[in-house]
Amino acid sequence: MTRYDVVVVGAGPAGQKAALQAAEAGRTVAIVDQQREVGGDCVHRGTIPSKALRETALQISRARRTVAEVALPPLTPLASLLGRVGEIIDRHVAVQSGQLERAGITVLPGRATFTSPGHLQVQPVRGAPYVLTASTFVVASGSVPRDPPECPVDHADVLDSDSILSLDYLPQSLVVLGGGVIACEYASTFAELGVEVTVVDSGPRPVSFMDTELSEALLRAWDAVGCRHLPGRSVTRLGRGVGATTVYTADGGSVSAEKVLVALGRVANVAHLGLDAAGVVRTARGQVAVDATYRTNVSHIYAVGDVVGFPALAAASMEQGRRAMRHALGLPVPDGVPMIPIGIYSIPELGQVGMTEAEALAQHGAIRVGRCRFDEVARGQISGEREGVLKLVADESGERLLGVAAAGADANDLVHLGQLAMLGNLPPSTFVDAVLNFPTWGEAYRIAALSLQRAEVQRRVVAPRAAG
Amino acid sequence: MTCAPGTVRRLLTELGHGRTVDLDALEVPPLPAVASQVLQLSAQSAVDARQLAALVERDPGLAATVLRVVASPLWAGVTPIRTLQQAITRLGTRSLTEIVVAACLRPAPVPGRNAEAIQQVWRHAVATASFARLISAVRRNHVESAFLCGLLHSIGRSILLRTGDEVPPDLLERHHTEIGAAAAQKWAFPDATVLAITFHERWTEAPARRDEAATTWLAARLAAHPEADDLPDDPVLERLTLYPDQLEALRGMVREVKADTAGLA
Repeated sequence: MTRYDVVVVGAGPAGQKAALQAAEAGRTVAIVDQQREVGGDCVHRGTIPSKALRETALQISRARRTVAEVALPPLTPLASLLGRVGEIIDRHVAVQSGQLERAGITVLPGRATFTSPGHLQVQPVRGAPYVLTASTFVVASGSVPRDPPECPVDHADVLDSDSILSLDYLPQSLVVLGGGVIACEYASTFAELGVEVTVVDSGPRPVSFMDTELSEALLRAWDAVGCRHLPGRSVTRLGRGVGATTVYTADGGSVSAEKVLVALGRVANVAHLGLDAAGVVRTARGQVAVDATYRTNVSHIYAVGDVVGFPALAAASMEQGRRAMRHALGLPVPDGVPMIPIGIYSIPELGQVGMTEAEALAQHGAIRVGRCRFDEVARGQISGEREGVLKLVADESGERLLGVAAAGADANDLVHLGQLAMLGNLPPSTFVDAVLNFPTWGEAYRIAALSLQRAEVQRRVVAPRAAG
Repeated sequence: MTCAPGTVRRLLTELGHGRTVDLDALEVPPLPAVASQVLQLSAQSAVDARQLAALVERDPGLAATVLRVVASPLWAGVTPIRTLQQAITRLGTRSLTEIVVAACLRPAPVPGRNAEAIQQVWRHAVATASFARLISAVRRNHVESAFLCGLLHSIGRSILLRTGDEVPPDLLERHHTEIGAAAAQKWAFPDATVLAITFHERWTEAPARRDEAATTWLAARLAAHPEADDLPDDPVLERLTLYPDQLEALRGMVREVKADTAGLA
């Protein structure tokens, strides 16, 4: 039995940050991860590989806009479109491993299982299991794709986000089930690569948790590349046939394609954790239940990242890991909920921080909204990225920024400027007075801020009460 | 397949001296036309079911194989299959493609010096293909190419044995992967298949598609000796991140593999 001050389960973004925080405070730390390399699904199956494919799609899209009609030949191997993804992953793993090593953190590949609240058994791929004890445990085991019974994934014709990138060839047609982040990112990428994509979405619009204008921007972009969006359709079953899988929906409709991507959410990866043996309580949705400090009902066991559910974003997970460990170590923890931007790598990129227009209107009753279309920005004219919008949402006075949303090139970077303004309580007029580089996307803030100053106040419409 | 007496010995000796394999001397047969056409049809895009059915119907032997497979325990449904069209619909593209390619590559039972060895190699290849598909599914990877990699991993052995020449076992062991890879290249199979044939026995050296090579190696081991004592110590398990319970589950699937491949072996 080996003892550490802190043992972290999972070497993804949340686990790494928790471990680094503990090591920085001088604690002995081990990370157990069931994969052979650190990084988690973010590096090996999700964020990095999917963005590499998206980058190829974007390059083709740019070439199509500026040079000539570009079409991929039939039987294009997917591996050839993933570019240098192997090299990128190797480099990322090397950087992260180096950071952990320099911090003196022990990385133990193996599957972790609690055998009691204070004992964690580690089963390596080869060899006998062994036991670790610690003063503090942090569960950061991530999530796995949800496999709904009505859409059984066979990894052949019906895929999930784990298996989609190991396809040999680009399919001719693809049905994407879902309207969340993963569904929208893959739908955009494959549509841009020339695949005939249909999105079957139970919700009214894609990424419905984002500002409505961002969903609309995505729908316009999909329309331009022939990607169909079928809103309000719940899947009832799949039917297999020669050359196609058919998706049947509750409204009696159906749609067929060569491949189907099931992107109907993710569930906490707790299958082997032995949480019952540790006495850790889970929510009705199977996630690890935590309080505001990310502590479970067992006082020395914390949980962070996808395993606790929303928002399940890498940036949020890292901050959760840091905060949880600071709390566990008795170090000061920042007050309140951190302001976390949401970034979606669809085509176009969708970025948002703070409130949506609807949320601001509901909460404040009266607001102002300023916009800048990218075709008004010199940078947009030069780069040809003229489809896009930056939107600033402010209070009634126009002096307090409540939210920023952007769709288009570099939208996820662009919202950071607005985020800093909100964190610093800077009024939108700052963007009018400040001198920013030209030509840059930053100019969009100046134009949007001017638009905000001229904007009429929008007021929440309150439905009249029925008489009597 | 024909070749001058002694060709195999000469070829293997040349390979032993580090020379490039001369496939023309070996006269690798072209991939049967039906298999080529089915592969093309199924890989390209949305397959036209009628075209696929028409291809299968043109070859009575192939049609019989498809019907035999669909009647096997794995595929048999509540409704008995009476027509080829029904069989094709039930199997779906992926399985039909696998069955057609396997059926086309299956050696005919011909009398001769190597007849039994050829059949043994084939049975092992089919079981390897089935295990490769199971391993890929456990690892949540796309399964289509795994089957083909497994099916063809020892095609070099078949090619050499089918010459009818006496093939020294040590040379066969040493060079079958080169012969197999060269044949797969000639047949224009995907890169992953060529690399898996070449590198499955030394998967750590594969310059690309290392997981496919490693999967093929583990599948071949499971197909040959699922209960081998040293299997849990094979480093390939670390490459594929397969834990003891997952390995045990795979070892316990011999019956499913037999059912899966009943009509092909």
